[in-house]
Amino acid sequence: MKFTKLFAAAGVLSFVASAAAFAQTATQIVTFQVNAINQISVAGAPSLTINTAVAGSAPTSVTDNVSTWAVTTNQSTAKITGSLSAAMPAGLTLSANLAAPAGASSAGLTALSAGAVDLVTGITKLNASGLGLTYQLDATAAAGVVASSTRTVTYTITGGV
Amino acid sequence: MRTHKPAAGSRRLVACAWVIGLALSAVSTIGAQSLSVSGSPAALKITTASAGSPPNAAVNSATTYTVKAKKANQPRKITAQLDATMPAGTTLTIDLNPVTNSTSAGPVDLTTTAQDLVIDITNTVNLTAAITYTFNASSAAGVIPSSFRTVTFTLVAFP
Repeated sequence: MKFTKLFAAAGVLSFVASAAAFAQTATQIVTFQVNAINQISVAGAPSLTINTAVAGSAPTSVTDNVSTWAVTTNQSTAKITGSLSAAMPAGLTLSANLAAPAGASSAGLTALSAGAVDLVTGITKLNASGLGLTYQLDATAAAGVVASSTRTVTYTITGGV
Repeated sequence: MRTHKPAAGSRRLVACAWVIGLALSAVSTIGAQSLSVSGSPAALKITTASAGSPPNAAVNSATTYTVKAKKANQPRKITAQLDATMPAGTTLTIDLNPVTNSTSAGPVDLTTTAQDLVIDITNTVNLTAAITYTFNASSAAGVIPSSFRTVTFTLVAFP
């Protein structure tokens, strides 16, 4: 009789088990990843004109601080370099000063050339915008009169790990 | 050797129990609630950003879910949870469009705790709607190699 009860119970359990088998769940596998991202942008169209001097001194330098720059990196110890599209005329120096975002270091006012120079180093996993960007133009008296000219300054973010 | 041979009456009882169990099972299946998904979404990859802003989110709206309640007067809801927490600085958000007459909770950041996604499901025929995943990462999250999480959806009584 015990055997019979066992089988009878099993029969009822077949319904219970069936109901349990339809307990309503569903699953999805979601795969994700984040690639290395390094982005820099600048805003502003600076213009620099030297048109005066103190007698006895070199022409008075001019600065332009209407520009800003922004950066996003999800890597560590990235740096910003800057370079000119062509060398400056003899006796003229164009310099740039990029304000550093939190935790990074600015090289301060740095003369630009056709070769890349470091402007900000130690940029780690951040995004920041509206950062100050100041240009300065210096001229010697020997540079003479220089007609309106342009140079393209290229900023590059590199070196992140 | 000992054997046990149930009497004829007992054998009939057992047979009846099995038949009843199987019949109930069939009836249960025919009118059962159900929940299924169309598959898993393609990998969510964050690859770009606008300078000065966090990385751009990755979005996938290619999968769907199909659901029905057993009875219109016994509403159901769909919950979802992850099998493990997301990496620091990242969020996986899910948004289920509601099926007819149900209500969606809107975008929900998934965690290892079940959260309501769609409530008041009363349709007794299968209805299908879209699933949207959004993967966000802060700059501080850094580079994250390909990883995965299992999202478990559960259809339960509402409320």
